[in-house]
Amino acid sequence: MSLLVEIFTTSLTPMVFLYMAVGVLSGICIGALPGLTATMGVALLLPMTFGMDAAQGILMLLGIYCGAIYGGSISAVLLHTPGTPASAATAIDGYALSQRGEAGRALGTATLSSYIGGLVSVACLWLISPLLAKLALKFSSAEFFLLAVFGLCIIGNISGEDVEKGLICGCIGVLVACVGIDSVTSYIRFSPKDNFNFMNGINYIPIMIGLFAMSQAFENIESIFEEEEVQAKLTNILPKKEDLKKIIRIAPLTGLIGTFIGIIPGAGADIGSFVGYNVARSIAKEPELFGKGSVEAISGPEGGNNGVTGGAMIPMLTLGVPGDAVTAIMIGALTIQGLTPGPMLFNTNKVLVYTIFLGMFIANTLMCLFGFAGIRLFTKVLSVPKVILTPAIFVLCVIGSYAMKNSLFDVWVMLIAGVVGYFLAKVKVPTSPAILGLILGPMAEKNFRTALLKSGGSPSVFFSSAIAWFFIFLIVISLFGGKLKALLFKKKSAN
Amino acid sequence: MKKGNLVLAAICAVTGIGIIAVASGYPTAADYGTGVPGPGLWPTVISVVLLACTAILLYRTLKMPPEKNSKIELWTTGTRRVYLAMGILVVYLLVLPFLGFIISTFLLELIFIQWFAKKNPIITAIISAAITMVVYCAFRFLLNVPVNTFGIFVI
Repeated sequence: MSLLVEIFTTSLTPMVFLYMAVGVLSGICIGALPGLTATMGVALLLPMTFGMDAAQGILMLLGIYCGAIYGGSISAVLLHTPGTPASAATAIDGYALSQRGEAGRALGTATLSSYIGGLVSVACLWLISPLLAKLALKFSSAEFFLLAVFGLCIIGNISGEDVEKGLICGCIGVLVACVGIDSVTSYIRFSPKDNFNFMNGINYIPIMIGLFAMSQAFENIESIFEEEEVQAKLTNILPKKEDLKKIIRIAPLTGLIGTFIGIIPGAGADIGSFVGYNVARSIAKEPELFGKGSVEAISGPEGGNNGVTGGAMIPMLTLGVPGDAVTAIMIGALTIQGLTPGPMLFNTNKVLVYTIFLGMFIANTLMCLFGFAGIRLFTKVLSVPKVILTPAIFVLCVIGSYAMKNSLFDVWVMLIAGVVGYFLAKVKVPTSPAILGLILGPMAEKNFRTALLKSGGSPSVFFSSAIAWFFIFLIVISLFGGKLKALLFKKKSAN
Repeated sequence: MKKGNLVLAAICAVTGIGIIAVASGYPTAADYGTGVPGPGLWPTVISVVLLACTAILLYRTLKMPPEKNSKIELWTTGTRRVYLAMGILVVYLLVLPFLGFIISTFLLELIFIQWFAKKNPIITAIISAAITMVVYCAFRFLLNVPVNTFGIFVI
């Protein structure tokens, strides 16, 4: 109780509410615009948090995150173009309903399902995080090294068809993180000795802005003259009783599944959305309507993708391992504020942690309120011309990467990352693994060498505890689980 | 896609080998005498993984069936527009230290919006000035980001 009082008197000030509301509104607008993703929005607006305190900054970013994941459904329903990859599954049935003149019903379903999914994930965040943080306090350097390696191995599983391309991108991220002064021996690596920019290491915030925002803006330029018109009348936005029953049956479950998908490092809202769609189909009362405009088919993915938001925060806050690309950026936001995400955060900054929990609940509620009250207004966002939006994104990328250290070097890094990201997208290389590599690489290296230092160079330190063996098991499963499953299925079908 | 994969594999191979070569000159565990691996071990291990992935990519690309070999469009009207935009941004970053944020950003927006939107130049100028001032004021005054009063990048 005293913690709640402390949160409301010190952290959740009216200013924080205002920033959160601004975050949710901007997030919905960003998500609604095809070509602008949640990751891009958070990366683009991250520099705006530099002048704020930790609670204000993180909660604004959380607002953007929740809002953008939901906002993607607006263009998915009205244009058949998902605003974010997380809404691709929503587009299938949402657009079918829109074609039948029931766009309002589809958007109402998406809004309520997103809210329910978000609430379930906040509840899980609240319940699981303190327990996981308590467990993580028992981790030594060896366990943290194995945890980071597990996170890096997951890259393969989230890289889609071409696993090796995802791993290549992840390795490049780890190698970029090696540039500069070595944290253990202070030896200068891969850097000219008289260049302080390289010696300090390459900051990953400009790289993120480049990879996610600048490269996306370049892609937008390719089709800059193609504008889509929105012509949909929105009626019956509030779900009716029969729709409400379907939503309440589907969204909490897919929200829960989305939360657990979010916990897996690297697995994002897009995966949560498609898994949610499949789960909804398997438990739907009218599965035959899927693909033809089913409320259940909208509720499933929307519950799933917003469920991921809280789930992704769990490993970020408790272990310092990003659940997805957005939480990777949030690690950067916390680091800029002088805070280190991980189990110690629960001891040293308990108020902030619980402010984040409560803030996520408020952000989801604001998202729902704004969603129902302003849906007609948000559809107008789709009319903002790309020809003006894209040049504005360029400037935001430039000033955003400059603002952190007032360094033009960072702006060049951002531009180079943007160009590289554009060409990587051409050869279908996913860029999210690079961010995982940039964050987990140094964590893995530092803990690997610290563990060896403590053990006097004996590698047995990595096999000395049950937790270590648990992570080794997870690493093996993440590396060979898919192949083992394929082999088993092959044998079964042969029999 | 085949060509793109081969170029990617070549770049990764050169990078991996280059990093191993450079890292081999770094101090080793024996130099420190604490049992801690030297600063070259980690980049070397990652480079080996990179080279292994590159080898797999190369193998899969060479074995790729023709129907999976989709063409990568690198020289279309759209991509040429992107390359030109990249060039304009490079010039913009080069002139930033001399012209300052406000003038160079206004010019950048003017060029892009006039190019893309083909509006009346006066309307373009107003939109460009508005974007420049909103971004400048938001970062300088509202968010207290420490920026130089006379154009952010002015030396």
